[in-house]
Amino acid sequence: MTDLLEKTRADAAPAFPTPVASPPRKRRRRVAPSVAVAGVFVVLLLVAVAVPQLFTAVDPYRAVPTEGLKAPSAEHWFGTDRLGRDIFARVVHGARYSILIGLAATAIAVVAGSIFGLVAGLSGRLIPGRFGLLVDETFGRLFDVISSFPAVLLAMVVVTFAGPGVQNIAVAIGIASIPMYGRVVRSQTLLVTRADFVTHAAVYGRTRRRIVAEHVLPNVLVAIPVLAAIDVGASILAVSGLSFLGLGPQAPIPEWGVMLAESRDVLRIAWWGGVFPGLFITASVIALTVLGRALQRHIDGRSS
Amino acid sequence: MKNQFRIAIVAAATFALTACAGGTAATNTDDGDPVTGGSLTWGVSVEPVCYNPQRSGQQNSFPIIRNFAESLVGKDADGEYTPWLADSWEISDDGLTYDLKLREGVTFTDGTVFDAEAVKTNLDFVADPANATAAGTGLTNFAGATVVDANTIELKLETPDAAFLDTLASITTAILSPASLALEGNDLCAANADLVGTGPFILSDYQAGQEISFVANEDYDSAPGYAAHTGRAYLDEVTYRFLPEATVRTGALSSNQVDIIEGVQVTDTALFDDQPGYVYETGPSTGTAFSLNINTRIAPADDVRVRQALRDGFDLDALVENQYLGTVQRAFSSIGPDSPFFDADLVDSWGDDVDGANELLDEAGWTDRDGEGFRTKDGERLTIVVGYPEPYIRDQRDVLLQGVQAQLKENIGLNLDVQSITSAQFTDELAKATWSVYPNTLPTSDPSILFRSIFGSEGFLYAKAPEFALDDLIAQSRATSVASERKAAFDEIQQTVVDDARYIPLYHPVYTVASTDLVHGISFEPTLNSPSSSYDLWTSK
Amino acid sequence: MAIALQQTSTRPKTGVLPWRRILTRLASGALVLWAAVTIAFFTLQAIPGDIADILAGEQTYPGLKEAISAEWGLDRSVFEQYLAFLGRLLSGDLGTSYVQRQPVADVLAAQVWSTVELAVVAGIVGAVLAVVLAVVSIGRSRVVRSAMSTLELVFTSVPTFWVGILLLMVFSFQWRLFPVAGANGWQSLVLPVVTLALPTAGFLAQVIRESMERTLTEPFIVTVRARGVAESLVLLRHALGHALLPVMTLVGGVIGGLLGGAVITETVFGRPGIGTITLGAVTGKDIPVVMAVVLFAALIYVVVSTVLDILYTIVDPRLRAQR
Repeated sequence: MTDLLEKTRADAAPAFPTPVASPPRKRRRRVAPSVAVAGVFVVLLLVAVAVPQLFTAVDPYRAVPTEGLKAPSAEHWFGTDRLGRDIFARVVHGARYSILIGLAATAIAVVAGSIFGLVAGLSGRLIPGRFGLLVDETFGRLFDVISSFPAVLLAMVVVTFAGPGVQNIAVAIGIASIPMYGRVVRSQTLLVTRADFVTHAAVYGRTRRRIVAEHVLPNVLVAIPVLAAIDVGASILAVSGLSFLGLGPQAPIPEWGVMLAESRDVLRIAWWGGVFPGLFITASVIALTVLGRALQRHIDGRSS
Repeated sequence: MKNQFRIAIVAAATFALTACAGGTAATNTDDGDPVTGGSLTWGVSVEPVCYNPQRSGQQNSFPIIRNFAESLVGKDADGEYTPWLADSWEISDDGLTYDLKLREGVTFTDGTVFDAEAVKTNLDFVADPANATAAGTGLTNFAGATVVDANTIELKLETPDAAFLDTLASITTAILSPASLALEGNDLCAANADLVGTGPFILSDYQAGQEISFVANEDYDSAPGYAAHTGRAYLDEVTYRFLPEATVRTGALSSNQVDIIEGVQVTDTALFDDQPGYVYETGPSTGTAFSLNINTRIAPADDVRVRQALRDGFDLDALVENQYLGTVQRAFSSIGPDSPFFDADLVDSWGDDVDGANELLDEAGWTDRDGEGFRTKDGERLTIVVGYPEPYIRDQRDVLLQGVQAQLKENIGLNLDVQSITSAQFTDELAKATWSVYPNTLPTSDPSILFRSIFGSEGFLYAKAPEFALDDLIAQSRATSVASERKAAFDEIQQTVVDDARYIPLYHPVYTVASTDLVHGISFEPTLNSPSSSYDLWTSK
Repeated sequence: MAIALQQTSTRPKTGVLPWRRILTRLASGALVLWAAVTIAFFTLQAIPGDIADILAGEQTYPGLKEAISAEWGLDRSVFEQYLAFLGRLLSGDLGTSYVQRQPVADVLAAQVWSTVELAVVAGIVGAVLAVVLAVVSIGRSRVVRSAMSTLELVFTSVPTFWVGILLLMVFSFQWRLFPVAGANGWQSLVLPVVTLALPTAGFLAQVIRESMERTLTEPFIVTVRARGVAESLVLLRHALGHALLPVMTLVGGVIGGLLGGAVITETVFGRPGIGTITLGAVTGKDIPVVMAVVLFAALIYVVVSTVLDILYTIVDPRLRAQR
């Protein structure tokens, strides 16, 4: 859903910087407290992804059946799961799966989507007349369909052929997000190719490829990081959702979605297994979204 | 030889007492007179992949299949054979000829008459290796059937077989309509009108992924000798809803969406056991324990020391106790504690010897460790794959295996890679003998048949690998019907497979059933250990 | 006076519908559907491996290979197969599931109602909730608005399956108010609907609020206020309708979100439905069913969004004037 929201915002022209040829000005701004908190959380999260041992010395895979289903206590901050594994340790070590797979999926989507979007935008321009408009509109609607298509379903299709696992769901979610970047790049390409300075460059005899490389690409790519920053949150939700369904990393990997799925059978008597992983998924997504929006506002401010 | 004759007499006598038979284990008969009519809904844990009794390998499919498929012979809770589709039988002194007198007036639900011809068609079909039926293993000594008259059939064996009556009592030799068997290119696994038996219920509706329902067979009168009543079923209609998640089943029963559930997870027992308004029952355990079968032809498990290290490298008592909270027993041998062939000598004789396990692995050359703490040799990590076919996973056994996996990693640095595979993948691995570890239980049957399946060279695990098989002992146990001789052979088999750790028993499973107190007549079928069909169930709703 | 002027200047000539625009919409909708079907077919061809083996998944029962070959016409050229595939789809034949051994259409039809029920009710609840949230926060203090913003952020950031689990824990296990699973009766709809409606509500609330804020700066609102209309009426009767127009174009995407969310919600609550079917088909490698679900979802989206696009074109007076 988050990506749909951003798509709406993408459609509204003022949300994105109009292509400029002059360098941006710097501006100082006070940082809102929510952004600061989000920033701190994300930093901690990234540290947990890189060096989980800093937060906990406990082995997340160590099963001690006699310690099964113990409530949160001083010894086990988040309690233990059915096999006696420490849930806090598993949450900390599990961060890397949700975050890294989400990042990988976003990266795949950005690269592939940009390529598709560039091609779509340029080809729409290259085919003249009404047919060109129809092709353009169809590309646009195709992107619409695929981007509105439930990412979960698309990912499931990929998993059907490729099987479950870490790499496969990264690719699957990446594919599902391609259209979002595709549309943005396409609309930016269209905008830019109509801008004056590009026409001027063509008049001066620059080849098409150089125009694309020097003018189209940089302006187009400015829009990407902002979208990506906000989209990572959506990717993380998709990763944990697919893992919850059993299509991603398999047990005993402590991915947060997998942990929630494992906790379901014993929820009636052990609530902690179903609360903490979900809390961290939510917090991560919120923090990344807040940061992403702050980044967007910052960039808007710079170019106005 | 005299034993067999005695069995026949007992069978005939039991038939005379059928009308007042008390039934099988754990019935709640003190609730007044049974009421005919009404309907019940079950919530079951597994949706059958195949509804053909002669082909299905899923234990949890059998309680549903029993509603329409019947066998020639029945078996009661004491292990005695009772009449069913066969009224009586005589066994020749040399044990090679069985004369069965079939029940008269029985018809298949498609109208065909049940007679000796139908029985011959069925047995010939099942025994034919080209048909690849599950019952094939029970009929390896079968030499052929001869129709004497409409209700008498003569079965000949090549060698005496102590397990033959067990085979005839098994659901895998259930009698289907010859018309169904004659259908070309149809393996009868689908739940539709092609699948016809003689049972107390007729398939009425099937929604894949959701439920299957049956209506009563009004003309039914071929109840087995161990059943609690005769004549048509009490219920007019019964539905089995497929609810694979344990909490969902529990919740469905608690909120009266279903009347009875099979497979109550351990942590929910307290909701039903000794609770007003509910009934909770557990079944017997006479089949094989839930065990790990290890393929001794695949490295690194081809080294007996590695297998023994695996066997001893974890605290099985603690794992079983903590997961099943005392509702099941940890296993030391294959055959379950309720069977007369249970080997009590093996109790406490192996397992939980981490130091010994580590020594064995050091001896076997797995002395280096990699970054994650797993042992390595020549750069190869010590990994043994467990491929658990997804349709057979139930009772949180995958969680138990994960516990074993975690302990093996920590205690001895062995990587037990537990994976869920599709049943088709498993069939493929079996065919190529590339399966690595196969966790399973077998539905109860005569142990000689069970062991032939998993330890014999004609079984499905060690097919064409006679050097690993225990064929001699198995054949011995089957040739004689002297109980003590048989037990000696079984004991030796069970001892051998545990000693060289090709077989690691984990626990003896039991089926659990919970229902509202409006449901009566709950029982467990002795030949299956699982809940019986819905024939004896009645409701006071 | 000013009002009359305004009305005449915006009222279009009666009976003039922007046909070209509508036809373009229909054409591109059909084109997209065709593209989706074609992509699906050729993806299947492109996957490495014999197509009969892929379709068989991992099934191996007697008569299977023959059935596949007959249905998909594997002995003919790829182009002929493609045409036959198109033909089958157009006649409503979604193929056969070789895993469940019945027509895919039967498999879907058996459980589609449950999903439709869930998605429609959740969509309506979500939309209503979104409107309430948006309207309540208009023109209020910064505290209220940022609280609303935060609430919407939480709604769209929290994983659906977690919400479902939490609701189950509180309302089913703890307080025994609602059933744990299944699809019998309205009680079993409540928790799944709430679970699915929250992200929809969060997302739509943001969009509606922003749209309303833009609308409230429009000149016609000034006019309405000048007439002395009460503020609440201004909001609800005049601004809201206008603000909802652009939201209409989003409904297709909302439906996509509902369908995707339904997959997860059905799993959490043990409800039958398309989601459960798809998950089963994915793990069982039942390709025909997976393909059918994908095409079905695409169909729903295209139909709904095309209809709404056309409605939007008809309803929006600014667009009507264009020919």
